[in-house]
Amino acid sequence: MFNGLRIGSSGMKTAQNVMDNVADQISNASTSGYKEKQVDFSELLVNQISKSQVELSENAQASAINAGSRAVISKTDFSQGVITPSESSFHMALEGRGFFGVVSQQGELMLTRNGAFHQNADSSVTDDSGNRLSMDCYVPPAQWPQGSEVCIGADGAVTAVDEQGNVLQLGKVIIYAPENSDELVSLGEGRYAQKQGLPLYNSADNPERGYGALRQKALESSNVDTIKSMTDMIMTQRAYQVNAKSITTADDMLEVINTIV
Amino acid sequence: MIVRSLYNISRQMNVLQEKQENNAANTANVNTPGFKYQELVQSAMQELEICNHAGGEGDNQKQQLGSINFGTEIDEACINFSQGALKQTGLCTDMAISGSGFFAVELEDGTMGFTRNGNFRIDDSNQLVTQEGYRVLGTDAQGNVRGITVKNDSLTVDSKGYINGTQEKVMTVDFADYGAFELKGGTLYVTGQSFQQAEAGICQGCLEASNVSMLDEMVRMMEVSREFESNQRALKVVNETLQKTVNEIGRN
Repeated sequence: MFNGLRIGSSGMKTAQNVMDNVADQISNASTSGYKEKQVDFSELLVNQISKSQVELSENAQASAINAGSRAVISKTDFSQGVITPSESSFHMALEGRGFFGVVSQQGELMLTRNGAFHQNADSSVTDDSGNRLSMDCYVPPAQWPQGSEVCIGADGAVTAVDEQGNVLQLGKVIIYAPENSDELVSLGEGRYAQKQGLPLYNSADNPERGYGALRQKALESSNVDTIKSMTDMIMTQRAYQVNAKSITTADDMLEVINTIV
Repeated sequence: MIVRSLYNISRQMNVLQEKQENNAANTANVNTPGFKYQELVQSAMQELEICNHAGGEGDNQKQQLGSINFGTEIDEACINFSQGALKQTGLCTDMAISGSGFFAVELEDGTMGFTRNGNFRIDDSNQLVTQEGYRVLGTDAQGNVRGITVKNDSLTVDSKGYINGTQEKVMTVDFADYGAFELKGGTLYVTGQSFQQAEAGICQGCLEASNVSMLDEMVRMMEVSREFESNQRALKVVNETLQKTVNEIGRN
């Protein structure tokens, strides 16, 4: 059986998948807290060249040809994005390897680098999808002093100054970190979850570990390199074309066989 | 015997089909990190003496007619181990070897596989593994071979392979003969020959691009396809000649 067509189509499919990912990166180039994903080509397993298809000499007995390629989501690049200033008190950015925790309506804890939070009319602090920011509250948010600005320190401590000029300790934003960031599962919308059964450290229970510094009134830009994405796009397009050529060549050969008689 | 030329041509067409498969396999991996392209080499089959007892004078004697071969076969599959370009990714788990040498990984049956593909990741048990999940092997200060554990995302590898400034090291090996590799797929090679640990130039934060040249593959594909057509032409001519022999000479 002639595999030329199938190998070529596997190459085209891989290029398509890689291109999908490149498009994904470019469209998220200005999403705050977005981390670049890498999708790479990977070689498939090999097929032995069989003696029934072609004559083989003594030293070509173990020769094999691979079955094409596939796309693998190799990893997410958790490197730091550029920190840009913002106006809102609840816009935060992390410098270092920590994550903010957000709790969904179902009570599920998710991690994110996107620090665009805001305080709602009912005083709760949530992200744009309504997930609550994970924090220790010494004073319930409803009783935070009105009118004075909330201050969040580099360690996540939330303070405010009341009318008498006293500094009030309101709570602490908890910062999370897995053992290795490669363990995280992407949930979409810039959120991640830790795999079942693996440890997740946080700044409240394990303060001795490194979590990075929190910067208030700032947002972390995405770490997508648009120029790199563009060159990736060109490379992928060329890979697509050369694989299309391999399919037409295989097709030509099959046509030649069909027109022998 | 004219029928023999039919078989000769069809054998060459089989070889060409196999070559096209190989070209397709190379082009499908044109962007696979650490991939090394393979070339199929063809050769003429062994020559054999033929003889004939023709009619006429001396028909009771064996007459040597010379030698003939039965077409072509695949002689060898050569992997070209020339260096691929280094592509910067900036990720600490990406490594490339510049110069000769291979990374060693532990396969599922406990034996060693070798690869040039340094596109690694960290698995659930904090081990450095390949994309397929095979453990990347390192050596500790005493030279014992074992896996590489990564904690807190911190992995720095210097150009000699030493991890985080300790005596622990990413294992790199080299071989006397590159011809004895067996392909396993997934840019992995296995070999029965013994290896020696060798220092290799490791470049962290880079991947080695495949060494497939799009242009060369394109040209090879055109070559194969045209050659296939000319073989088909030859096959047609032989077929027509046979037709004459059978249908026209036979009729008179």
